[in-house]
Amino acid sequence: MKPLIVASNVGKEVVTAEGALGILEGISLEINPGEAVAIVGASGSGKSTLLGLLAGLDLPSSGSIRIDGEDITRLGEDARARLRARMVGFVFQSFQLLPGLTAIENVMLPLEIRGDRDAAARARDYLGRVGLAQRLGHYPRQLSGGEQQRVAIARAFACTPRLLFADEPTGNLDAATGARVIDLIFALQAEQGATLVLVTHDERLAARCARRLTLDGGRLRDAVAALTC
Amino acid sequence: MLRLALRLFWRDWRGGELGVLLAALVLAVGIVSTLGLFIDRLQRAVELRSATFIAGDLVLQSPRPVPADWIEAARAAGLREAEVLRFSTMVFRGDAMQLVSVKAVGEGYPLLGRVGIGASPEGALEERDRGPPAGEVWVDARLLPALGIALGERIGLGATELRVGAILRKEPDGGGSLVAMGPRLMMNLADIGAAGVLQPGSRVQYAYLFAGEAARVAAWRAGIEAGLLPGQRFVTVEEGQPRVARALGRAESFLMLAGSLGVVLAGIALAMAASRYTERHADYVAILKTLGLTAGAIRALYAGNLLLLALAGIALGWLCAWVLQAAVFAVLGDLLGMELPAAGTRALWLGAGTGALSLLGLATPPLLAMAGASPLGVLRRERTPGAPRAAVYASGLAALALLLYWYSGDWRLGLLVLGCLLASAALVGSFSYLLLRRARLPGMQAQGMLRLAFAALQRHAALNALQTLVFALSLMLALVMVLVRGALIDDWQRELPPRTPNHFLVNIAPSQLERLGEFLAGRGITHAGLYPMVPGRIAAVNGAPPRVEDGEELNLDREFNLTWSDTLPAENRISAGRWWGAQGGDEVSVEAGVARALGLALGDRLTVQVGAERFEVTLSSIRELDWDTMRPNFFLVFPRRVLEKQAGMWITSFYLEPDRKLVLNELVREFPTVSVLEMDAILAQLRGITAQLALAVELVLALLVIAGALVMVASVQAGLDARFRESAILRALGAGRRLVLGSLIAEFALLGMFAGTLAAAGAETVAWLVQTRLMDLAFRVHPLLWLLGPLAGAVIAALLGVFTCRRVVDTPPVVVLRELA
Repeated sequence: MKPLIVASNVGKEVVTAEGALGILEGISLEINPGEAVAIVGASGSGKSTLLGLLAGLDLPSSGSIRIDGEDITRLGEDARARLRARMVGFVFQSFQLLPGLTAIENVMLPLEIRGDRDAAARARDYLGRVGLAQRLGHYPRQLSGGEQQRVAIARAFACTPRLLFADEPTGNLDAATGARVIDLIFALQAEQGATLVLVTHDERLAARCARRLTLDGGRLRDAVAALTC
Repeated sequence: MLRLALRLFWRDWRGGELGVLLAALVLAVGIVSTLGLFIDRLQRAVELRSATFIAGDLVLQSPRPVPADWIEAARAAGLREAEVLRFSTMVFRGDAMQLVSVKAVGEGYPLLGRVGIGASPEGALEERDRGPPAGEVWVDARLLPALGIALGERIGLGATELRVGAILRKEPDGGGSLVAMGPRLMMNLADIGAAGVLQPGSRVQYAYLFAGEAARVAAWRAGIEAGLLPGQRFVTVEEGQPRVARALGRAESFLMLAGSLGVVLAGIALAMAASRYTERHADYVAILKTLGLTAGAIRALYAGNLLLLALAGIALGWLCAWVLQAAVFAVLGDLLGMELPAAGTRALWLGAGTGALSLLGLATPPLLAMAGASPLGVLRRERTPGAPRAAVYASGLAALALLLYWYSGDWRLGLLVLGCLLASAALVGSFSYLLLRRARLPGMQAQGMLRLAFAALQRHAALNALQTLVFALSLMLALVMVLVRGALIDDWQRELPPRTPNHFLVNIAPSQLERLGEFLAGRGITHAGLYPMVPGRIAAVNGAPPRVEDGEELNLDREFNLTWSDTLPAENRISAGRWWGAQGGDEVSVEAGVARALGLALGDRLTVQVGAERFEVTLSSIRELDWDTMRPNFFLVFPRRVLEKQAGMWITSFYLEPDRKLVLNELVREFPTVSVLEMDAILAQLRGITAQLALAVELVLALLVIAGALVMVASVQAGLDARFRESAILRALGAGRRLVLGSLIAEFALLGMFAGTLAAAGAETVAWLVQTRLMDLAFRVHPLLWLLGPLAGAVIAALLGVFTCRRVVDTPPVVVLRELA
C-alpha cells in the first residue's frame, strides 16, 4: 500500500533571543491510509510541532513531507491551505472553536469554506452523532469542556477528511469525558476510514492506536518503527 | 465568498465581536463630522454676519459714478448689486436747521444684513431688508429734538420735502467714516434728483455693493481692478473691518485646531479598538487557515468585513453627528442670534474619511500580516517579526497626517499638531512606563486596596502606560483648548474694553479748546486727549522724492494729519529712538508702518510740506500703535515748537453711554462748527460678533471635551478583559467586593493623577506653541493648571473606573473565569 504521509529527514529550528533552537531533528516516518498513529513523548519533546508540520500548518527547516504523493514543503501557504480544505481535519487540545459562532455555525464553517450547499443539514447531522442535537444554538462559552471538544470533533469529521490530526484531544478533559471523546474519535475514524494521527499523553488513547511513535528530545526514539514494514 | 463574508460578518456582529470597533468607528466619524458640521455652520454664519458689516460681499468705493458697463458686467456675472451715496447736507424745518450725514440707498440695499428701525430709540426693533421708500426718510433719533419734530412730520432737504417715517436704529454697514458728520439720515436714491442737492463738485462718496458666489465676485473684481482710477477702491470685510477680520481669523484657527484635535482623538479611539479587534481575531485567522482558507481568501474576507464595518460605522456616525449638531443649533440658534445657513457636506466626507482611513491604516495591516503568517504561529501567539507592528504605526501615522492636512488645508497646523502629539506620546509613554515598571513605588509598603492598586499598576505597566497616554492626551487636548480659548477671549475683550471711546469730535477750533474741555468735564465725560490736526505731506526724504517700498502700501497723494505733542500719546510705544523731552528740536516721530513703507531709518532727514511752507526735520523715533483703539492716532508727531505756528483744527474722542446721546445735541448747539463722528453702532456690532464667536468657541470646546471623555471610556473598555480576569481571580482567592472595587478606583485615580500631571505639562507647552506661533497671542504660565490637571485627572479617571468596572465586581467570578477561559 502506498503511504499517505511520508516525512524524510525533517528538522525544525526556531530563532529565539538566545539563538537558533533545534526542536526536531532527522525525523523520517511513513503513515498508511486508514492507520491510527499516536505520537507520544515528554512535554517539550516536539510532538505538537511535528503534528503541525505533518498537517502542513507550518514548514520544516529541513527535509520534506509528502502527503498523498505531493511534497507539501514545496507548496506555498495557499496551496497547503487548499490541500487542508480538501483532505485534512483537526482537533485541538484547547478546542479552538470560534467564540462568536454557535455550535452549529462552528461545524458549518469548514463546509461553507468548501462551498458545501447543505452545510447546515450536514452540521446538524454530525452534531447529532456526537450527542449535541439539543445544543445547536449554544455558544462555546455556554458549553462544558467535553461538549466543546465534541463540537470540535463534529467540525473535524463533518468534512469527511482523509486525514485527521488531533493534538492532545483529551488534554483538557476529565477521565470519563476523555474516554467518551476517545470513543467518538475512533468510531468516526472507523466509519469514514480516515487516517488518524494524534499527539497524546493519555496512555489509554495511545494504546488504542495501531502504532506509537515516541519522540525524545526532538528525535524519534525507535526510528525503525516509524517506517511502515 | 461574498456570502461567506456576509455570514461571518453577521455572526461576528451578533457575537458582540464587532461592537467595540464599531463604537469606536461611530465615535471617530461622529466626532469629526459633528465638529466639522458645527464649525462649518458657524463659519458660514459668522462670515455671512461679518459680510453684513459692509452690507455685501464686496464694495467698490468711488468719488464719482463708475462706468455703467462695470455694473452691467457684474449683473451679467450673476452678482446682485446696489448703489449707495453718502454726503453731508443741511435739513430744515421752519427755522431749525441741522447738518446731517445722508445715506441715499438704491434698489436692493442692503444686499446682506438688515436695516433696523423703530418708533423710538428703545423698544421694539423692526428689521427691514430694504431702505426707506421714495418720499420717506429714516433718521437718527437725535435729529428729532434737534429739529423739534415728531415722527410722521416732513422735513426739507434741498428742493424737496420728505416724510420722517421711522427712527433708524441699525445699519448693517454703519461703520463710521469721515464723511459721516451729523446725525444719520437714510433716504431713497430715487429722491436725490428732486432734492437737487448734488451739484458738480459736491463732495459725495459713491459706493457700489455687490454680493454673490465668492468665485464670481472675485472674477468680476479681477476684471475691473486694472481699470480703477485714483480714489476708487474695493473694500471687503478684511480690508474694511480689519478688527472683525482678525477676530474671525483667530476664531477660525481655533475651530480648525479643535477640529484637528478631534481628528486625533478619533484616531486614538480607533487605534485602540482596532488593536483589540486584531488581537481577538488572531484566533479566527488561525482557525480559518487550519480549516483550509487561503491567505487571499482570508484577506478578501476581512477586507469585506472591514468595508461593511466602515459603511455601518460611517452611516451611524453621520446620523449621530447630524442629530447632535441639529439639536445644538436648535437650542442655541436663538442664543447665537444669527441666521444659520445649512452646513455643507464636506464635514461629513471628512468624518467618513477619518473613519475609513483610520480603519485602513490601523486595523488592516495587522490582519493582512496575520493572513500571511503560519497558522501554527498565530495559534501559539508567536509574535510575527517586528515589521507588521512598525508598519501599523507607520500607516496609522501616515493616515493621521493625511487627515490632518485634509482637514486644515494647512500643513503648518497639521505638522504642529502631529509633532506635538508624537512628542508627547513618546514622552508620556516612556515616562509612565519607566515609572510604573521600574520604580519601587512608595505605595508598595501600603496595606489593603492601595497595595493592590500599586501592584496592579506595576503588573500592567504596558497597558497602563497606554491608558495613561490616552488619558493624558485627552486631558491635555482639553486643557490646551481651555487655555487657548481663555487667551482668545481675553484678547477679544482686551481689544474692545468697556468704555472704549465711541465718539470722535473733529474740527475743533483752537479758541474752543478751553470751553469744550469744560463742557465735557461738566458732564462727567473723559476725553482721550486733545490733539491738533495739521494737514501736510512728506515732500522729500533725505532730499529725494519719497518712494514707497515694493510690497508696501501708502498713498502719498493724500495729505496726512500731522500733530504735535509734548508727551508720547497714550497707547503709543517707542520701538526705536527716543521721545523728546519738554523741548524737542527739529525732529519728528513716525509711525512704524509708515517708516516701513518709506524705508525710513533713525536720523533720516524728512522735508514736510504744510500749505505752501516747507521745513526739514530729523527722524528721532519710531512709534508702534494700535489703529483700532478708537483714539486719535497720527502717522507723524512733531514737538510743539515745530508745528505750533501752523494753523490747525483739533480732534478728540470720548466714551458716551448709549442713553446719553442727547448730550450730542447740546454739544452741537453749543459748538455748531464742531463735527461729531458716532462710532457706537459699529462698536456694538463688533462686540456682538466677538461675543458670538466666544460662544461658538466655547461650544466647540465642550464638544471636544465630551469627545475626549468618550475616548477615555473607550480606553478603559479596551483593557476590561484583563481586569475582569484579575478581579475574578482576586475574588476567587477571597478578596472582598469592596476591596477589589476600592483597589480598582485607587488604581484609576493614581493613573489619572499621573496622567493629569503629564497633561498639565503638555498643555502648557502646546498652548505656548499654538498661541505664540499660530495665533499671535500673548502667553503666560498658568499655575492653577498644575493643580487642576492632576486633580481633574484623578477624579475623572476614578469616576470612569467605577462607571466601567462596576460590572467587573458585580459578575460572579466563576462566570468571568469561564467566559474568558
